Amino acid sequence: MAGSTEARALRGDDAAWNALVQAHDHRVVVALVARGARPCEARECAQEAWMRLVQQQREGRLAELQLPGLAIRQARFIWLERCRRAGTVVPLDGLREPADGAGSEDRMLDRARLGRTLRALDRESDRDRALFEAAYGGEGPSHADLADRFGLSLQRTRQILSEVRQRLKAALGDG
Amino acid sequence: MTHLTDDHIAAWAAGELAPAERDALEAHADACADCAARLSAGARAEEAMYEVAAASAARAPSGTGWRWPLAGLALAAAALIAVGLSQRPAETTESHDGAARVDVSVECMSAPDLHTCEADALRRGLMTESGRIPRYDRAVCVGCGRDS
Ligand SMILES: [Zn+2]
Repeated sequence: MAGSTEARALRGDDAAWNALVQAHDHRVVVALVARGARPCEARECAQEAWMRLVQQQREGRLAELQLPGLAIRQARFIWLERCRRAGTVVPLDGLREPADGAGSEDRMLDRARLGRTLRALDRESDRDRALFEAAYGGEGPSHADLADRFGLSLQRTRQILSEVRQRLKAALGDG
Repeated sequence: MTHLTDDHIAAWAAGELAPAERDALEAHADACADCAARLSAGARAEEAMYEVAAASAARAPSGTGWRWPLAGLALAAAALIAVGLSQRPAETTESHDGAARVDVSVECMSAPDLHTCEADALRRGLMTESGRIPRYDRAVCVGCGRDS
């Protein structure tokens, strides 16, 4: 589904672009805030990133559209440029690549924390683990999509995800 | 607006707030350094969830993934030097005999089996002094060289 929306966006369909922005914009903002941007800067950079992507598509310079990774990289680039121009010191986290970026050498988690969190995930039921993997699996499905797919109510879907997340974040060690 | 609660931050990070509530929260964090720092930490934890999900999905079919049978094993830190690996050890603790020991993360999420990974590790000269256990850096399985 996400694939076909991206294909339509690549053909210049405005409605498809709007749907993609709607689906991924907040993730882009969170990724920048995680790297040290203030929320207002993150919103501005995300917006500029989307505008540049649309412009690139209109100029025929966008062959592929892998979201949200591409938008996160574009927004991060814009933010780093702003920091450089303003002479702001970029926090170390700002240099990290997005989790699903091509250059994944530098991740949020070191191996020890990743291992610890994976072991916590293994303690979840099969269904809850599958739900978590689907929710955070990259294509950015909505909670309503997930509820449909797993035969759960929307409220129950959110509750399960919230509980799993809480346990994993506790295993992560920083709340 | 009062300071942000952890629940509020987690809901923001997960994209579960209504737009008006989200805007109010972000406006507060823009003006309050304490909450901004906590929001950033919340965002990092949320980003980490994507890494966890990707790593989990990359394992062989859920629950049946092959693992090193040695989780939690502690090896002398010197073993790292012995094989010339320069990455920072995952976790260093003090053992009962006072020597620095490294809690080795021994999950390999990409090698199909122990034999393959050990054979690759041996070929690349990457065994530890124990002679048995390939080592892994943060993103790449050093034993087999594949992304994990
Ligand atoms: Zn505050």
